[in-house]
Amino acid sequence: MKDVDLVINHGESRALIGPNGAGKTTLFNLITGEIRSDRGEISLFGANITHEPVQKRIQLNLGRTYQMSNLFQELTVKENLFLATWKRGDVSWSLLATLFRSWNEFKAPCHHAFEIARQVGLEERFNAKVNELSHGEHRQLELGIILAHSPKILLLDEPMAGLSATERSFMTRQIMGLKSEMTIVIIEHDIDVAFSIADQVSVLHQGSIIAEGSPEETRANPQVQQIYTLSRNSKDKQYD
Amino acid sequence: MIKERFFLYRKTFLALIVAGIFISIPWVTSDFFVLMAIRVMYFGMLTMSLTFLAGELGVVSLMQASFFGIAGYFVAILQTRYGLPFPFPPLVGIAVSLIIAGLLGMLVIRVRGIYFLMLTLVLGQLVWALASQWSSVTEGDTGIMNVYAPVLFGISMEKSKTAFYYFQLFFFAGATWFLIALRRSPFGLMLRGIRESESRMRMLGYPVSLLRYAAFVFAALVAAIGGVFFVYFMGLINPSSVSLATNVETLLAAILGGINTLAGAVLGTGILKTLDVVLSGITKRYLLFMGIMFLFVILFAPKGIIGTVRNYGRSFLSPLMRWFGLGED
Repeated sequence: MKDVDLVINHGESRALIGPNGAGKTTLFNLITGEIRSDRGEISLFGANITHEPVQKRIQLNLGRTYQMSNLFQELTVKENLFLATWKRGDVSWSLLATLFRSWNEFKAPCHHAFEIARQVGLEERFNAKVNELSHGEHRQLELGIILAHSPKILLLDEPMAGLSATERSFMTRQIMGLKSEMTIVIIEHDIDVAFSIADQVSVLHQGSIIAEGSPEETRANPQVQQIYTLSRNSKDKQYD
Repeated sequence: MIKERFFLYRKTFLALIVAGIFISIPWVTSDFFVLMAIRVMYFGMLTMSLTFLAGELGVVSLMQASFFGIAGYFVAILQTRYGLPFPFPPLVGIAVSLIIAGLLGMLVIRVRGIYFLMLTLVLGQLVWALASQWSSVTEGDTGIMNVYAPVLFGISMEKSKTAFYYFQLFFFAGATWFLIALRRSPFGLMLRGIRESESRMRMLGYPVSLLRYAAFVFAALVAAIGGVFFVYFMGLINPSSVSLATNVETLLAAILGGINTLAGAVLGTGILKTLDVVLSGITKRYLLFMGIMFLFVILFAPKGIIGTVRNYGRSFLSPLMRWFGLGED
């Protein structure tokens, strides 16, 4: 990343767009701490988190989804959501408290897990193993896991990737429904979806932010248009 | 609610059947079988410590025999050299084993997959080298002899193998319950979460390294308990108990029974130890037959006996296992 200066206000919905390799996911990894930054500063709700580990940033109510679904494949939907809800403070979270009681006996997180499954439309697949779910259901569960954690800022990395038109429409409605509850930063290649969700758009190119503004301003920006035209042309050439 | 209670009772029913079988062994079988059962139980604890790590964390350790042997060595040293009365030698032995697991655990939790296997192999060999070379403490390759099982409630565990059997059965049942309880708990679910996706667990805010560390130490505890009974039963301990051969044999027993299951650990150990005795009595080339058997297991039943039985959904055993609530185990 080069000289990226990005400020996202509380309650805002921000889309990060740009051609492949622009550094969008890298920026997410820097924010979550999965990649350590060698320079610069990252602040979350006013606190400097540049040198904080991932867990600490999560404790500050940061949540993210992944480009490729990152789920517990051999576990059930219920188990996935239980793990996501477990640390919400409904029960005593100390190692000793967790040792000799079946996880199924913790009613509050199990109930919350079911509520989340219903919220993302997976209640009928609650006891199914993740590796038995469709791609669309994976994305729904991915979102559910993050919602179970009740984040205040949500980083969505290409949530529509590989979804059918019906699934896209369902997922878009889900994300729109979250706008009033949390700050959303979304990476999305489908510009129409990104612009329909976002209040503000930042355009990344070769590791730098080259444009910022409302969806309309971004759409009209000649530099952005040029990058997208170049990007499309180079893709067409590859296919030729 | 009614379904859950029914499920609970079915598991209790199964537990009672298993307990009944174990309790009745000295009454309905021969002395030879009792001795074999004792052997299977202490080696079974060693194998269970391996399958717990493999099944829950998805890592294969080649040093569980080290914790088994360290506890055994300390029992032998404290009893034969310092004359410490029971229960101090086993308590100190298990504590030392746990401390060493705690120290080595800080190293091994940093690596995954094949690197975990390699690092545990190296550390296991280091323990073996110490046992073999540090003669002033371990008596070298000869080992420490004349270790006697304790006298409890006026009954000599050394003289009565039936008493020894029940003494060990109590701890074997405790160790098995301990691992089952861990598996069923949120802690066990967290370990399976780490097995499936460590990065996701970190993103959910879990202390992944601490959880891996705790699992490693808990597994070492079970192996150490097995080691105490091993030295009491055999009356001696030498470097072969912490050797690579013992570690590999433990891994083979786990593969044979089903590396992801605790029941598979005990079953695999039982079959392996029985074949060991039976085949070595028939032919000097018994290792060749064992090798062929493992070839068949790896080729045709890579999930071990328990895993294969579960896979055949239409077989007569599977509906029975599902009825007992073992399908999801």
